[in-house]
Amino acid sequence: MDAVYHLMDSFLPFDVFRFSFMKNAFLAVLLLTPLLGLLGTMAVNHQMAFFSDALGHSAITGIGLGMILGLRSDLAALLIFGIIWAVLICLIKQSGSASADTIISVFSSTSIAAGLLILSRGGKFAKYSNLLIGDILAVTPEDLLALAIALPLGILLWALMYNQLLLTSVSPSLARSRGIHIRLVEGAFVVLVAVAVMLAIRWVGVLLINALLILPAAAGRNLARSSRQHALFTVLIALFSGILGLILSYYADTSAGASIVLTSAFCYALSLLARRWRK
Amino acid sequence: MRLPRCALCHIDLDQVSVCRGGQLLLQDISMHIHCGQLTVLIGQNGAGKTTLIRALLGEISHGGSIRHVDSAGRDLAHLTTGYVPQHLSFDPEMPLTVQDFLAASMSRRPVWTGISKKVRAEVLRALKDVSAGDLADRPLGRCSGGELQRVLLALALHPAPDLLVLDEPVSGVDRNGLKLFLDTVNHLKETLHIAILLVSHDLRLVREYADYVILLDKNVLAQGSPEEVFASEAFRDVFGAGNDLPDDPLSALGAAPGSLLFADNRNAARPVRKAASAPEADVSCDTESGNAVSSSRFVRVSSRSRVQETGAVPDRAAEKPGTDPSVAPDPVPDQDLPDSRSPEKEVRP
Repeated sequence: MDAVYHLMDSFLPFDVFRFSFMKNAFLAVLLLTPLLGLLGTMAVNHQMAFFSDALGHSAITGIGLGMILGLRSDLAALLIFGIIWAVLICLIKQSGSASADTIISVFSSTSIAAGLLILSRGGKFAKYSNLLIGDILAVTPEDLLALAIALPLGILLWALMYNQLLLTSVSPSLARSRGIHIRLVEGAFVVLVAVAVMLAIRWVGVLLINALLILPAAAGRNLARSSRQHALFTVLIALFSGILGLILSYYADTSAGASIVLTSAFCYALSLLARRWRK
Repeated sequence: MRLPRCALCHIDLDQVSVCRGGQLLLQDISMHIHCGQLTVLIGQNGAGKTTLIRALLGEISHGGSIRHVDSAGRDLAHLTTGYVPQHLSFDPEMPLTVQDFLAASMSRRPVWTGISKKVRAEVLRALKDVSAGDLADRPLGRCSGGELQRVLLALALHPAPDLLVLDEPVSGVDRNGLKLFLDTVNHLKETLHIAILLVSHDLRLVREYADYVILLDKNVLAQGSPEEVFASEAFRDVFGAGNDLPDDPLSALGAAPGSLLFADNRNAARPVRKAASAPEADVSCDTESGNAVSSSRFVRVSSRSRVQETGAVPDRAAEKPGTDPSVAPDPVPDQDLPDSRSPEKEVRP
């Protein structure tokens, strides 16, 4: 870790990165935002923005259940619950019993209510309010290590399922006729999103996690014509707003997560203008 | 029903039936789909055409057997099926070029990392085979209905299928685009020697292109050469005696597009026969105008309002904003096939 810090000192000799908590936050942004952005490209094309929002909300329940069950690690509770929740929504959605929107909304509000119920027992919710906003400055070197392992794994899995997901989002019946197991592919995608969201949620917070997933991809989509451009623009926008937002939050003394999201929202507005102008 | 002996390899459907939710959707379908032949499936909405296709594709379970056999009835290798769906349900704003779309299904490399030269060459060749070589770099959402059908056809031909299934590839495409599509299909039939099953609503084109026609309504009402089926009593029962196809091309212009009225409300409750048969008033209007383009425009409009009357969802491809010339700036200048594109634009209401 010291070697990395040293490297940063020599390449980024800025006042912002004087403190090691800022260095950690910077590294976390570098590792997290591209993965979330890439996953976001498909969430946007697959019309699953609302789904990932619901998934983020379910983190509250995850922490609450983890507490009840006495799990030592919050992250384990988050991951287990997130995956189960995601697969459950996916299964119900695929069974096609009601419109997806309604189902997801039901799940989202149920999980928020259940989480609040558990965490607010005995008026102790203030202790968990961090979960709503997140704190990227609290990233530890161990977290970074976990992220550094998760990132290439996530991107590898993502690369394996991308083409099949793409065909599925264009036409499920066509994909099925080409031997693609739609449920399996969608399930794998949902689980991957769940893991990425749960990894990030402690630092970005329940309220804003979805923005990191959706906003860069939505902005990239306005600029791109092809899949490759979409991925490229999305990653660039995600990195740009992540880094700029972090730096701005340092100087303006604001929440890092909120600053990052606002910067991406600004990028989105610019991308809308660019699209208008091009047409 | 006794089936004729077949000289070539074929797909043998023997007493196929499909039952869903307590309803019998298909009953005792026995038919052969020959390679090197264009077999056309006709019938009213709700007659089970799409159900039969889904059974062929293995999407739904069915009774009876579907086998790929040679002339002596011996089983051949597993049936590879190419499928052109009726329409796509994607978001037209999605950043996805035709090339991305094809490469995603032809190679394992995720297309967001780029497309290798080899795959690109393969994609271009596939597109050229269906006279769509100029579409590679166009976003999928900006292809017209006819262009999209050709792209889907290119995809259905890779990997090379034994059976090509075309599910109502006519909707959202005007007659010229349709003829171009069928010419391509015909060419494929002759060069690749594959079996082709087409669901069609344009009875005049069926007569012109089909080698074998199957009239379906839960079971097979009639099958044989187009002449045989069109002359059959069952055909008159289903489509009405008034809809008999005239040989005179001028009046055929009026009558045949009227048969588009059968298009695309397969998801709706099955309309009563009267509502689905061609409205006489519209047809006579068309013949009076004597102008191919304006008459086809008239019929398209009237067919859509008719579809709405019967409570069905209008054809998605026809509604797509990308096909509207006023909305979609054409990124590829002047490379389009003039005979395929311009008429498609003209018929937009």
